[in-house]
Amino acid sequence: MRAEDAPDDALVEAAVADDRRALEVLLERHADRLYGVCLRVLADREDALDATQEALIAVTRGLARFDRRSRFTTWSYRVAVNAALDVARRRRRAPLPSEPISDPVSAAPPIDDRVAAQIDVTDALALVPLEQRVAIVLRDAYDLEYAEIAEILDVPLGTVRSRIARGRNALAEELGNRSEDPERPRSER
Amino acid sequence: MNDDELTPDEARARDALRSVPAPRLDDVARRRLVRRALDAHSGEDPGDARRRDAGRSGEPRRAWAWIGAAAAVVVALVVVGIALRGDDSDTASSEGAAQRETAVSEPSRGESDGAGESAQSGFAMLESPGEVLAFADGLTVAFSTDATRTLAAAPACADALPSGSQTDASAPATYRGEDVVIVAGRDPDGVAVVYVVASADCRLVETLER
Repeated sequence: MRAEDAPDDALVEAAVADDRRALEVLLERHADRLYGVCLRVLADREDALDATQEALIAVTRGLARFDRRSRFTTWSYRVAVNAALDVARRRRRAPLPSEPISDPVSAAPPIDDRVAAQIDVTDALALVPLEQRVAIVLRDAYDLEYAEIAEILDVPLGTVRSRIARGRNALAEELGNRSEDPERPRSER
Repeated sequence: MNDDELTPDEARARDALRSVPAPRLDDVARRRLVRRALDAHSGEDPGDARRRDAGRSGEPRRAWAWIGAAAAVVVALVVVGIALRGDDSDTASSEGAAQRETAVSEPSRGESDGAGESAQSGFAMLESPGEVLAFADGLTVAFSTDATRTLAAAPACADALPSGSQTDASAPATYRGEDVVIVAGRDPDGVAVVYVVASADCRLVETLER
């Protein structure tokens, strides 16, 4: 079986046995997902790339200690979230809503409503408190179960429920603020 | 509470978040991140890998970059000379600044056009009143600027750039209303980039890649 077709478990086993190709395929397979988590948590492309790099390095260095009681994806989510939180703490700055993840809107040609709505969500998400943001990203953007999120964040199930509920309400409030004044230029919101 | 018992606000937030497509890395960035992680796994310091990569592919490119930059400057001087010769004498006395007949442009990225690429290869900054053009190996980025200023040989805030970056030309400008230093050069992987660094606190504001 080609490494590209192998399941994660087989790749992990081969990588731990020093199969560099297996490790490369494993990292390439999951890099986008880890980057996506980091970007949504950090709301800054450069910070997300830094966090993703740290996460991928942590995966390669920690793979031998991965006990495989959980899925590789769960473990790697945990690594990525920790890397993103580390970067956020080091930066010690709140994400700037005027610096959306996407390219500057004010200089771009008119965009359709669907894309505009996605930019609004991205901007609004950046204003949700960090811990709540992580929880709703894992739940609503990546469809993880509450128990899996609790394992990733190493917090009790009740804490996960609370963070998700508060995070969704915070996001809804931010989205509501945006829809109240639709004439205001997006870059000034 | 489970997701079947959401308030309307919570359901709205959930649906909004689900509607945004998952971000993806471009192929170049993904390969770069994975390669560095593999290098780290094999015991090599990622910084060493970056320097090695720059050394392996960067030397010939760097030589060509300097040749390109010199060629770009010569071309610019010829163009300016022709323009000044055709202008009034008082225009010619304007402190030798490169005076190009281009409108002030808003910050824009990736404004690379086919016609300009061959002449704009290499690394250079060209300034005129009202505009700075950063050329980085075919990547052309225009920035608005407040005044004509002299080019800086070494960028301020160099420590703000990713370790292992190569800087070839820099100039002060404004970007989204903020005083910045624009730096044309290469990132640690040898990719042509234009860095935008905030003058006030040396924060890396933006990295524009080809």
